[in-house]
Amino acid sequence: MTFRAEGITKRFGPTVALDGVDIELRPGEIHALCGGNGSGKSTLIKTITGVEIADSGTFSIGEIASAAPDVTPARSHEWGIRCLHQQGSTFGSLTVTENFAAGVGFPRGFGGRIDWRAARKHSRELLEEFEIDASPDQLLEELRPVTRQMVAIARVLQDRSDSAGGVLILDEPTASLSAADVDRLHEAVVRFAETGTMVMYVTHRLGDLPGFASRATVLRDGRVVGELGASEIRHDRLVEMIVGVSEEELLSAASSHVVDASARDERLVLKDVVGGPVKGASLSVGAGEIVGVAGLVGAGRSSLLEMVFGTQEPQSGSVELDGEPLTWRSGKPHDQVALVPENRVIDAAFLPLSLTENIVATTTGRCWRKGFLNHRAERAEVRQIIADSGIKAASEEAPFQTLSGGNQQKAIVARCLRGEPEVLLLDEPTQGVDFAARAAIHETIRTAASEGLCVLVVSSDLEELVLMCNKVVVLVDGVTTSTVSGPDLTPENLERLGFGEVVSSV
Amino acid sequence: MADPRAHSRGKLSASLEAYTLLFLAALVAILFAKLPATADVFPTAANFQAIAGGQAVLIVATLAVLIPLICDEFDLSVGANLGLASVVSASFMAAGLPLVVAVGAGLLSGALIGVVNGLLVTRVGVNAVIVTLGVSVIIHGVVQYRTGGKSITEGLPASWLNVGSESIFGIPVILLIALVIAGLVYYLLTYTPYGRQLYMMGANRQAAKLVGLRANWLLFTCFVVGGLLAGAAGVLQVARAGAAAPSVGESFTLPAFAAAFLSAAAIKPGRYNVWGCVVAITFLAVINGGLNIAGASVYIADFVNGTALISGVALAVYLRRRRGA
Ligand SMILES: Nc1ncnc2c1ncn2[C@@H]1O[C@H](COP(=O)(O)OP(=O)(O)OP(=O)(O)O)[C@@H](O)[C@H]1O
Ligand SMILES: [Mg+2]
Repeated sequence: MTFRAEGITKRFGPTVALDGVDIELRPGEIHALCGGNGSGKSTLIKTITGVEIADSGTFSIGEIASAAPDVTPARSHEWGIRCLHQQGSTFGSLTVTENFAAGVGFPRGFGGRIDWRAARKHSRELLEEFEIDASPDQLLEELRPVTRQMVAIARVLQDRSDSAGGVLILDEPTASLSAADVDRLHEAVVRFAETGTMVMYVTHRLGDLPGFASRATVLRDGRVVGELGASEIRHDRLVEMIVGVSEEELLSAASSHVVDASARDERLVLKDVVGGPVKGASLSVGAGEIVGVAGLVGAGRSSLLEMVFGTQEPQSGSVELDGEPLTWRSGKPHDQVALVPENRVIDAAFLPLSLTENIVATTTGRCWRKGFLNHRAERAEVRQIIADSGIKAASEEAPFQTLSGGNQQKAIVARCLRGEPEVLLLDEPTQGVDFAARAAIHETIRTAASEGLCVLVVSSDLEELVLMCNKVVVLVDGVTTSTVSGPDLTPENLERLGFGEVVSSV
Repeated sequence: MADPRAHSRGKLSASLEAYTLLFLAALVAILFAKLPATADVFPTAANFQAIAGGQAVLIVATLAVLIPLICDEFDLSVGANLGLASVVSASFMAAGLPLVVAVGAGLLSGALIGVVNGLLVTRVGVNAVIVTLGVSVIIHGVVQYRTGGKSITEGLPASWLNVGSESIFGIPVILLIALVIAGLVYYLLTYTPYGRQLYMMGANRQAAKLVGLRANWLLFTCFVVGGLLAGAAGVLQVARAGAAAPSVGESFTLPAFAAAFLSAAAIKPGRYNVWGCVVAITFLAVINGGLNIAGASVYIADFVNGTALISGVALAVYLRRRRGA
């Protein structure tokens, strides 16, 4: 039994998101779906799950076939298709049991009351079946991100009639997981595949795919550019298919970032900063320097950024910019500091407003001339920014929510730079961003840094830290334990240091 | 990716969306002009002036609802506030004070109610629906107490009453005033950073704070500006009605909300906007006016406004979803 999508087409007004896409999933295979931002991956998934109605095409599972526009969420569910969407939704302030029930409802007892005992029992069974390290009464926000992700997967899979067969779709399940956590998630996915589940897997971390995916389909601008078998799945090959140019060409465009460490003045200086999970952080960033913060999730990385940004009050210690302390202003961000937050949808995006309004959000006054906002000047500027940052959108007036995730991320970075800050803070700046765009964002940040900006970047992607940063500070349990730079700056070293191990050569 | 034909099709459907309500209003107007029951009276200049003049106060009241609504806040006190302002300004006029002072007093009372609402919402942190509902009940009580439930009709200056009844080139003066106010609000919302910031507050308050907007200040000011507009509506109501009735405000709350919600379905689909309000009011006024002439019972108007409120919201939600949620 296989799942086949044939000739799937979907338009959004003038945008052709999918243009005759064919894809076939086979039992026991992990089928990677690759493609740049806005290439149509999420849209394809949404048409399969009936969240978006396809314009034309057919879906078939085994012998049953259906015209694609007729698929509804209920029918897709009936076919055994289960999906974890890109903005995977778990409820942080609810317990594991409640999160499971959010999928299928609570077991009911006498008079319709919730039968908590049965609910807990059910969730204990699920935790066991999916080998999840959590207890039914734990709050989701207390769990590690990978465990949370596993709960989300178990939730979508819990009501399948039999564990074999069926389709499991994962849209970027690893966007903010560390390397070790990615491995754990992969192990689980491989287990599902071994029981005969057809898995469709979306990721921008192409390096994860060789040896993991059994097949890969690459989308570009809504069309399938090719399908690769397990042995053909290589990083360079994928990049070439996704972007349309070779990896060397792409990388040679990016200049390497050389800074003379000795001749620089320290601009941003943190001394023994304590607050929230941060128990004592000291570091300094010079003019034009890009400094990374590595560490496990929960080590206090985001809190550290928030204390520099001004939205979290440090209990003690000092944060100084050019010798002047950045004093607490009751939660109002400092004017000289810009932040690209970790959670784009909650903390940064104005989804119903236009792309233009989102990009100028911090700098609305810029085009204010003689008592009027000059809309034409504003749009012209934004069009330039869109071109420079390679943002893909129907127009500069398109509602922000119609942009794909990666393009939204580029726009948020562009917004921060438009404010011409002295300090740029980046929290997982390239999550959900494709290979080419990631290189573009890195390049944008390097260019900005070369003009004297201080950059502090947090990323779970250690490779990214190594690529971008002049030096990386490692946070272990809220304390800055070491600083790595030069030849010691490797993903392996960072990984070990993050777990609190001592690296001999440092 | 985007072939030009598809693009112009997108543009076309977008402008269809934007003007649907206006077309509908025109259609209904033509219908009433042709219908035997209304054909005699409906298409006359006098009727146009009656309908248009009657909507002036509602336009301003709707703008008073609109500003907080853009911030995603409900101001249920607009009607009561309007009533208070009309009683305040009318009693100043009746006491023989200069017109400027009386009008100023009405505006001030509106703004002050806005200050109270704003402080309760931002400082005390009470939900705006509760605050403004409570405040409107209190205002109602105060007005009843001060007026003894009686309208102020005596001693109002002719100069102000003329504003409510005269026309320039066939257009009621009071409507012109309301349109000028609408123009000012449009300017505020579209051509100033402040207006942008209100929309940002409504779209994602958390993100608005993180891009450095003074969220509490914006929230406070949206109630004050809304209150000021409610005050202006109250002062105009004195001119329009030639009197200040203590409970006149209540009849404005529902239509104002209906029009403000409907505004998201016209002119700039998917967002609450000034000219959308004006179009929505025109639409409702044409229907109500026609039914009135046809001799339909008063409760028909309630029915129309209630239905319009719900279908307006539904339409706006639908448009938003179609544009991609
Ligand atoms: N609701 C919508 N309305 C209009 N355009 C849309 C809508 N949803 C998606 N699009 C457009 O369709 C295209 C495909 O988007 P999609 O979200 O499928 O990309 P993606 O491959 O998942 O990208 P990413 O890797 O960034 O998540 C994009 O150009 C996007 O702007
Ligand atoms: Mg996507």
